[in-house]
Amino acid sequence: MPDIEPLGDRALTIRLGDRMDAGLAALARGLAARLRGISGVREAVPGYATVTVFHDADYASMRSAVEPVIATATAEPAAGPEHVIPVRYDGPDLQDVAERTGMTVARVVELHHSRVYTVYLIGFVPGFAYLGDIDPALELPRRDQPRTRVPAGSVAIAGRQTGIYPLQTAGGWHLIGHTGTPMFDPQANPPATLAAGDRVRFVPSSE
Amino acid sequence: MIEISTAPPFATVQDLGRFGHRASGVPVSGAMDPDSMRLANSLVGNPPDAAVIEWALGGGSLIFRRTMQYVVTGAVRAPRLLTARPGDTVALAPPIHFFGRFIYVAVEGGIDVPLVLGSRSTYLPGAFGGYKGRILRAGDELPVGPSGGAAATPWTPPAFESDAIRVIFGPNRAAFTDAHREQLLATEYKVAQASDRMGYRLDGDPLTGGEWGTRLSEPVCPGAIQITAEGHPIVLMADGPTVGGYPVIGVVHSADLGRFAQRLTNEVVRFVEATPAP
Repeated sequence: MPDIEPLGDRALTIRLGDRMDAGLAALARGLAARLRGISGVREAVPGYATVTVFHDADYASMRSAVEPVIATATAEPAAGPEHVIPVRYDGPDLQDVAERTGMTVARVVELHHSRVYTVYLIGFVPGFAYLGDIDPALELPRRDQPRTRVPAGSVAIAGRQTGIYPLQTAGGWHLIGHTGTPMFDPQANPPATLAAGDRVRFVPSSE
Repeated sequence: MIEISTAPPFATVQDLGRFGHRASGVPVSGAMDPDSMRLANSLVGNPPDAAVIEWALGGGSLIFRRTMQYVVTGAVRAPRLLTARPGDTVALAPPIHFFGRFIYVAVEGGIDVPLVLGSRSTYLPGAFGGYKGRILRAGDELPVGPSGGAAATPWTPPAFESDAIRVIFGPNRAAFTDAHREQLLATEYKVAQASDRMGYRLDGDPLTGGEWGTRLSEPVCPGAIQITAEGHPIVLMADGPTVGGYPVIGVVHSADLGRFAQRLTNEVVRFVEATPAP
């Protein structure tokens, strides 16, 4: 049985594992979908390898209600829609990424747009999608000094992840490009353009 | 309608929060001290989730454009239920910096700004909700909803036996030892200057003897106490992110979060262990 721990008195976290893994993420999505149907559950949010259940019941009864669902949960493959997102590869960190990975800028760009990514989770700021996995040759730790202002639409990488900043915010990822595709619209429902389980393909663009 | 005549440094429209959109990364927002907000709404006969003005960091004034009841709660000596006439100017120069950080102004009918994703709460980092997604400024005209005509039934906030803030340990128990949890409970923290609607930093002796680099991000919530790589706690608040990469040693009990939110810079915070029971 996976580990279940309280996240305060109004939520609990189900831990299926502790690594970034497509199979665990698919299981988390499948479990979250099943848990949304349980009485007392207000929201069930998948993480990389966790599901967090926000509830208005008490912890003990919510825990008893979710345990049998965990036992029978099945993975939900990344079968969401495929989004094609044009990227202008001219980010301020592109040259630095090329130097630190020992590749040409052209090769960095090619590796970044040659894969179809899966959305692991949405968070950090509204609409920010954690996408993966990027090519291992592009893996770099986050910047030592995060920027206080990353422009909206910035396409960035860090670790095995890539993502798009939906709005101007602070950020520590390496900025390699920019897209004009909006990632968040508070007047839409759902407001985020991407959802966990969706797939994303980047295409180079001059705009 | 009411008009902001002189704005304080920080005032926004808030309700009980924006729920159901965490999977899109949308924080709950809402009143930092929901107890004071509920009390305010109950005194003017509003439903608990009617929108109010959350007012902080200084004085200002309002002009009322029609007759209505209003009340001020939160960081005030005692709530005052009053009736305003058209043209009345009401100065709000609360003894903020003495009783707490936030006051709540509820008017009969509630502040009737448009619902965004099911809530009237302002989320400043995303510039949506509330009044045009921003803090209130002099000259802003806030629409007021029709009075529900409900009889005022004062809501009774929970009573507390001590000043301590209850914390429920988890959900990253394995990232900490019992010694770390004991150290959190034994440390006298002070609210740091760098505290806002997204999070409160706490000054105090850092937790030691652990490796708390960033980990895989997972969903968090208001009240979550993150421990930074240097061992310092950050308590996520109403506008905090929906997911975080720092380990969470524990979460402030939801019934204590408003009381905690009212703590001023340099005010003392002590934690006491609690179970997630109601």
